[in-house]
Amino acid sequence: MTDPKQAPPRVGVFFCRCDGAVSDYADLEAAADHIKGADPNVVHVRVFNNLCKKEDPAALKEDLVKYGIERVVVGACACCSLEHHCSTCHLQRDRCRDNVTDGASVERSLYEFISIREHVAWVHKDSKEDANLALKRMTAMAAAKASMLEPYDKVKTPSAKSAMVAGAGPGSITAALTLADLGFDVRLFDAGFDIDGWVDGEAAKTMVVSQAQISLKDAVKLVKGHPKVKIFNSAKVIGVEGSVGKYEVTFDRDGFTGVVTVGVLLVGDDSKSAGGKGRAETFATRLPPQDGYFKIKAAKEFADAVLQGSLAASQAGSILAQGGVTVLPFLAEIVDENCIGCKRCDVCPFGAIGFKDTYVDLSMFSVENYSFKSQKATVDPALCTGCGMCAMECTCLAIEMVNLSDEQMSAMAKAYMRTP
Amino acid sequence: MGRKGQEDVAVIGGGIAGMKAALQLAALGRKVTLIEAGPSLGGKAVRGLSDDKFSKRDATLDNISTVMMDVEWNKSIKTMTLTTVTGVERDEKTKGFKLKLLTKARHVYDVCTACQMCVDPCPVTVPNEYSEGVGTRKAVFLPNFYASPRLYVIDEKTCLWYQDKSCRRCEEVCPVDAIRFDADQKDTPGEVAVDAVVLALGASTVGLEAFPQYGAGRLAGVISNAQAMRYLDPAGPTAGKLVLEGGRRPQTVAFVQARGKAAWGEVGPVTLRWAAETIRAAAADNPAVKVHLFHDKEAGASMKGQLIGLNRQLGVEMHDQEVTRVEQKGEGKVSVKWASEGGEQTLEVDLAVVSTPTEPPAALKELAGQFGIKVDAAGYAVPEGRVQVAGPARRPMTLDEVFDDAMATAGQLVTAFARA
Repeated sequence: MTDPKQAPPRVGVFFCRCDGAVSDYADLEAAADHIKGADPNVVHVRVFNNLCKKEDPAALKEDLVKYGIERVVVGACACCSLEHHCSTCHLQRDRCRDNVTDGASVERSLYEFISIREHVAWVHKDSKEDANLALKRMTAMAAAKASMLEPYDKVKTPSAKSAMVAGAGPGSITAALTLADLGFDVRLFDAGFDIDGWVDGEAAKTMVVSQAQISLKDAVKLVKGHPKVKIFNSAKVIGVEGSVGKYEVTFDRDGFTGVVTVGVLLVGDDSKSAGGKGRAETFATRLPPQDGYFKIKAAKEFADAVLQGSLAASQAGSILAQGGVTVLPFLAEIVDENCIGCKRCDVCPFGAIGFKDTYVDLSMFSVENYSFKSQKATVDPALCTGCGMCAMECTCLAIEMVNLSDEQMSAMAKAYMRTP
Repeated sequence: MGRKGQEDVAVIGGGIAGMKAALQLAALGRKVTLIEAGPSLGGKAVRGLSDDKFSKRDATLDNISTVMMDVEWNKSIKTMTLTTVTGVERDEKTKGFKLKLLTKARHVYDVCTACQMCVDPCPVTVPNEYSEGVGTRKAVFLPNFYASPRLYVIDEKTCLWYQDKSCRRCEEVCPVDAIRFDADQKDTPGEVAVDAVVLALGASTVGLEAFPQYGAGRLAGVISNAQAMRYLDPAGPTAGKLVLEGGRRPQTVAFVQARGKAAWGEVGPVTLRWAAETIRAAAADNPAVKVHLFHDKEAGASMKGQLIGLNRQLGVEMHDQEVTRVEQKGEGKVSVKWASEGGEQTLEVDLAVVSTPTEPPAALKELAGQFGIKVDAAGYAVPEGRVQVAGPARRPMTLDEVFDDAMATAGQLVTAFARA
């Protein structure tokens, strides 16, 4: 919450003409003049020609420093016309955000975006009057919310620099070697007694795993002796928990169970050879679809299997190379005091809601020395997409959407009503 | 040249294979120089069907315009358009390469905002070779709808200024002074030192001229599949409508697979898959259209499920026959002929669409020679060590396979760095 005693934040408003795709339908200059008079917090307004070009975001960032701007409103396109209502493809919507926030003096969560191309120019393309009114209202609402935005610094969660590879077929061996060569720790799980059980054939000696002319047979040797690889023979993965960046893999090895923490999962598909339900399918049923899980597809020929191994390792490696998982600045957060552990919020389609054991004491009801065991909800920020489904289910006001709070919404509604 | 773990890589070819390989290498922490001979990234895939149908696997995120934008904004990728490799020096000590480059003049400075004011005044109109000859372009033009970099280019061969200095109308209307004939850009040689190279030259499509039995491109009622895709592309010259000369809308269409020089078993499934895509687009454009698909038995067997789908959903009639001749039959009709046991059979249709096979690109053999790698019997390059080959320059492949292959290539290059 913004402290009212503090000086009001300095808000900057920036519009993008989109090379005429917006400015042909609505008068951006008039809206700029209007917001300057209507919102006392707005200190600077500027209209750019095209924020997709490299020069305009650079000029925007210069303005932020020059005018001491603390909160930013950007009126541009959504790249995707669904804007916030669909939470499955945030990558496209984030592109403009990345362009104008990367290296800027104002942090990412203090930006407020309005998609004026879709919601103004496209929706009101027949009436300039309607377009101008919609633009003014949207800008006023965004500026009102921007003044109340709260910094959210947990935009990057650290990730374990290691990978689990399940299986020891040609694809898995290639993936393990590639990831180890990239400098990541590899935990290789195989049900067999030794990982080179299959390399006796002629094909294994002649087939090369990489263009560095290593045969599959040599690759197995290299994997065995690689300082970055730890091999778990006769081991079976019995449970996986967590999300990209920090999976906890529970395994059973000759009756002993152990746990390793890894950043990504690579699972060699053995459905063709094993018949029936293969390893990859078993994994897929246990985990919701997510970013850190890669299936090494089964293939008939060694050459294809090797390609699939390289592919999975390359994709997994690029996630580990980022050094962490970037999360969005609009997420669900649990208010622990309010949560009663009713589990109504367990509707998350992305598996981001989990539960932790706690003790509830009744001191707030003046009952001393009495507590009982309960559970409270948790949110995994790496999986949360900010869709808000859990917040709708919660009846105890225990889930708050970061930067989408009731105060901010009512400020936006007031700004809407004030705009003629 | 970079130190270990941060090697420099040159990717030659800015098509989908080159872009995907470059992005993946950048994600794995390598610096990439992306060298493209044409004025824009995108290659052949950008001339394919509409953006949203681009890849089945990941239609929302991997459409070609976002891939191009990703490349443009990636800090680790330096894109050089209009640039060709003129010489290669191998550095024995570091095992790297020194590439000599030649960047052709664009004749449009990069202040260009792609406002298209120069297009109307230009008096030169020629068939658009960037659109398979479907539609026309001026001497100053944007190479494709999604062009990246978003800059116009002047074609020296057709522009009147470079013939007899008789016209400078585009220079007069340009509002940002991007065209300056008196201070014109010149071809500039360059040099780049890299640790490894990825050849991603793609494949070239054989023209209709090579098939006299199908009219060698001279019949009004016969077009190639690549041309049909241009007609059906919403961003193409006819805005997604299959409208032939004189406003004719074909009601019956025969899709014919042409046999090339390369082994049919490899090329056939690729061309047939593209034909299936075109058929779906044609049916979406004109639901009343009646389609006959002539296909090879061998190629058809590889995608039986899809063909059955086409038959059930769209009523496409299948003929596993090889078409021997296509002849013009009066105004707006062609007859398709094939041999069967009972003698020659004939089918009369409004339009015949010939899927021409793909070939290794013309420049591949010379370039492979310069880098000291072999080409196989069909003319495709064989990767070796630090010279990798990604995409259809290695073997014919469908679009989804290109995605996998390009990303796997990046992974394989990393093992090559670690081992060699």
